[in-house]
Amino acid sequence: MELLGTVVVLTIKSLIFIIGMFLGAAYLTLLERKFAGHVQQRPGPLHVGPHGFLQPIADALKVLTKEDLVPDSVDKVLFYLASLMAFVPAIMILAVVPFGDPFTIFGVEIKPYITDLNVGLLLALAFGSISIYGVIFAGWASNSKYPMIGGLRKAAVLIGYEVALGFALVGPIMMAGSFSLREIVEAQQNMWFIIPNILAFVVVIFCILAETGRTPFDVQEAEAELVGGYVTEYTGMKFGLFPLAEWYIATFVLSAITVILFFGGWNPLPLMGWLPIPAFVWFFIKVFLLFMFFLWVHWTLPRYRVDQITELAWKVMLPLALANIFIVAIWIIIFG
Amino acid sequence: MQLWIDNQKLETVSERFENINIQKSENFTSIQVEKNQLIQLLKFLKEDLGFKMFIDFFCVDYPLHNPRFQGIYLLFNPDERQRVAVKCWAEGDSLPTITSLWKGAKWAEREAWDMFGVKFEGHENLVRMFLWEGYKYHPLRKDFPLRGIEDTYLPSLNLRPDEKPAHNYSPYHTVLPTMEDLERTQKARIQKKNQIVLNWGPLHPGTHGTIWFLFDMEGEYVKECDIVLGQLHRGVEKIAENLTYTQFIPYTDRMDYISALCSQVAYVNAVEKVLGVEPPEKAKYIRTMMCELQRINSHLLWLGTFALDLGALTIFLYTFREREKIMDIIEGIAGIRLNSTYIRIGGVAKDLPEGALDVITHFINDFPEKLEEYETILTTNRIWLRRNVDLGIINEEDVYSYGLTGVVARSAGVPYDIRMIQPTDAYDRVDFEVPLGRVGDCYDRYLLRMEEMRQSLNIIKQCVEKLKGMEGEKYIATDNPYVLPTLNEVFNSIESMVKDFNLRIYGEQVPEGEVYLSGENPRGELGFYINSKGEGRPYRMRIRSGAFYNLQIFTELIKGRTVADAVVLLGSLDPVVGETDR
Amino acid sequence: MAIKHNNGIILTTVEEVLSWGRRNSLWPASVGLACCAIEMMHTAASRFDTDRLGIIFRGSPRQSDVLIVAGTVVNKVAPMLKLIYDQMPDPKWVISMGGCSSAGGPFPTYATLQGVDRIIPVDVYVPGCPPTPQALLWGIMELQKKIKAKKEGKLWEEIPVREVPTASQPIKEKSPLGF
Repeated sequence: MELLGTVVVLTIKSLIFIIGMFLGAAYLTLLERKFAGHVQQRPGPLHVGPHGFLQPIADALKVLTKEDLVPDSVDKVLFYLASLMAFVPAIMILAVVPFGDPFTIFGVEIKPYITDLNVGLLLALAFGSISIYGVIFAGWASNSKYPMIGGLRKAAVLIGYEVALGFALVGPIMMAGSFSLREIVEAQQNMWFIIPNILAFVVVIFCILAETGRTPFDVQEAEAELVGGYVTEYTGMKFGLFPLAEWYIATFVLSAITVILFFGGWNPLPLMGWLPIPAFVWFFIKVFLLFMFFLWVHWTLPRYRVDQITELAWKVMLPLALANIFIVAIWIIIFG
Repeated sequence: MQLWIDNQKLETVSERFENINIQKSENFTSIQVEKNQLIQLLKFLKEDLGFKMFIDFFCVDYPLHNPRFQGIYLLFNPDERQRVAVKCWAEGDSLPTITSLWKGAKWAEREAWDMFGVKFEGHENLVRMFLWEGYKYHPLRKDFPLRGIEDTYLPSLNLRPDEKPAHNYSPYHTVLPTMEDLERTQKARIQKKNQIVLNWGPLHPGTHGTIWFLFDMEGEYVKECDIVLGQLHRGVEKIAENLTYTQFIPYTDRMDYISALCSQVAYVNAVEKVLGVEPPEKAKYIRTMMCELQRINSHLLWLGTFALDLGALTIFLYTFREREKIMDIIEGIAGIRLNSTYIRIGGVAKDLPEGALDVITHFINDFPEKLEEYETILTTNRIWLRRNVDLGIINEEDVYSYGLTGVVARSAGVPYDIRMIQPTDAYDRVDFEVPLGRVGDCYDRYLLRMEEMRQSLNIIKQCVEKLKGMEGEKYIATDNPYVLPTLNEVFNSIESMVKDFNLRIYGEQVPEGEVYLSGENPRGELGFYINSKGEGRPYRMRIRSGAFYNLQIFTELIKGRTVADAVVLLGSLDPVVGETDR
Repeated sequence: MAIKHNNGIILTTVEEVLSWGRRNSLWPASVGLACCAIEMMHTAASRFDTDRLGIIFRGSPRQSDVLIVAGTVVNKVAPMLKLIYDQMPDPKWVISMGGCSSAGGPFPTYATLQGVDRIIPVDVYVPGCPPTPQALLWGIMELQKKIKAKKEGKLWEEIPVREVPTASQPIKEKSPLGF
């Protein structure tokens, strides 16, 4: 009976998370378009619904009812699988991301996370890596030149930065002594982990930009070079899943993990703990600020060439991440 | 100011070569030579007399003459600033290729083959330049009609069966290529030697219009490259032969649509030269001012799209913000935003409206700040530097061999600027500098264009000062018999009305002769060769496009580079398809 | 389209919602051919900003709904333009921007296609050489009206051309002001 209850609660929670993320991601597109608009001195979506508020709904309706065109020359199985492979892992990471401390409403304890695994961070990394397959599949299955080049470029970038990202995350794990994201947050009640881990934070920022394909690392769908990169041949919602997964869900989730690892998760800002703000609100404020930072970078910088990106990954980011481990080890010996 | 070869050199030539015929006139000096002596003469001119820069090659069709086609080579001596034309009859419809002397002739010869059917002995790959393989005609021949041969049934898909068409609509159309034809065109250009042949373009967001690049690639590295042009070939040179000189002005806009006013000025200057019309002082300053405004406008578009190609999306919108201001100024003065047919033979179409100078003054005070803003984001940006520096290096030799002009030539340190070499309008009375590059890479070209915008501002400032004191002066020399009267004059005097009627119906009866004159377009030297037979229409008009020759070096520079570099390289060469294809 | 003789309110409502979605999220393929492409870029830029209406330019034809034929279509590029059109998924629309693509414009020559409607069906013709950004926006809104009218099952009525008085045919009716 207890098991059944757990299953039901987990199912409901997962549904809430997934639907919430879907809607959230849809509105993140609006957020980005508005943000880009204001950066570029124009209003952004304005006339669809009040102040453009229904724009994502219109886009979703259109994309969902578009003809589902599959070119003759594609490898059909992989072609379908690719968009799922890109999307599902991104949303799966949510399973281990906590959004706050457990709290009690009307005598019921609510945990704002699906599960608190003791290897949560590892799982997140693993799921993140799976999405590479989605990209390679998309590039290969399209049986077309531009998607092929785009997919291979993205794969080259991802492999480089996954390694650096993995090493950069070691620092906070060493300090917290746990892979569980919740425990990492609890370990930061007195001091955020960014203080000794500043190098790791820089590496993580670069890695997130690279993994989510934002400028200066958006080589895989550089419009001027490759039309649409690996998504060139995709139509309708099969196409829609890629940017949704990459640009919005992945960016959001990775921002959340960064906040958890370096900025104390849902712990309030220093000296502001007396404010009557719930924990998850603190968390979302931090995540959104970080998300906005990525948008800001995206709409400002030009892009690197792909060989320059991989060069940066292996020659700069990986050594930095390793140096960070060294620094943190010394820090732990001295203070810990 | 004339730039033709001096008598001393002509004497040297005539001593050395027999059977040559020198035609010297005020606007054009040519040496006519037999076909078997052509290469020697050109070699002599290039190596001994210093005419080392290739400007243009084209053909003229004389259907009643035997041999029928005449090839004309235009050369330039950059040290002494002299031009010379070499004419040669194409016996047996063929000429020897000169690609061994000047690499830049490769495309010009392809064009002559495409348009006239003149063959070139020894050309490495003589294919059609603008039309496709399998096209049966050579359209610039005099016996080919402007409208083409309408033999394909191709009715409108929108016309309902019961509907009467609104215009003189014919369901028959000139022949369209099939996909097989285009494939054959591609195969004729490049043979697959490496892993894949990538068709970059023609309808691709990164190719600045409709240029069709063929990359033979090994991984992401381009090993061989060729370019298929003609995706915007509209037959402008053929149109010119069928219109009067004034009627052709709007077409110059639509060639280089980004710098419409500069093209108009270049064309009108050439026509004025052959007609002997002298525009009033005010018109000269207005032209210079408008040209420079257009130059800023053009460079802004270049900056925006260049940055967009490199991923900096926001710069694109920032430059378009300034472009809108310039477009508004042009619209206020000329009446039309983009293709403003504002320049007329003998002056300009309208006087400056009230307050125009104030608006321009406001703009030139405001603009340096914005330029600073762009430079802050880009000039010392680490990513920008890594993408641009040491890419696509052009040296002086390339400039002469390919006939590169404009910023591309100046980035290699060659001070080739028509505004300095042969100042037209008020350029000899304004003070400006021509920035020169040192390395010749993409970053140099970026810096040069940014600096040119500053220099243009400087010129505009001087013109505005001058124009402030010219209020109420005449802006078009309507006293001249070749100049169209203004609307006001037509309505108020019978003589003007008759003159207007005559000029509009019969065209300007240009005296027999030839002229070659060029202007400094933002994209390079835009030259007009006009061959008049004393009629109201030109017998042959050749448009020497700067972008056409500048683009040609792309195939060399891209070798061994990646597709990502192709974007940068293309952006820094800054071609406009309307001008390359004409 | 709503099925006639069927009192299904639900069907109609669903169609209406879908039509609303489609006309408010028209993504054009960024195909620029000639001069009009510059004005198309201006339409997308800050001052006129097509993003207000939910219009963003997509590089790939597979993901776009409307093809804005911006510029002269010459014979050589016509088969490729048709290929782009064929690659677009349904429902798709075509806006012919400017005189050249509508009817050949000022280029009645051997090389130019005399009207893009000879190879692909056109929904809206925008006049001008080149049309100003305002004109292109008008064309886009006209297309939105057309999509809406089609949803309602009505035949799209031609945009009424205002009568122009000529010397031989002066306008007979009274002006709205009554004199």
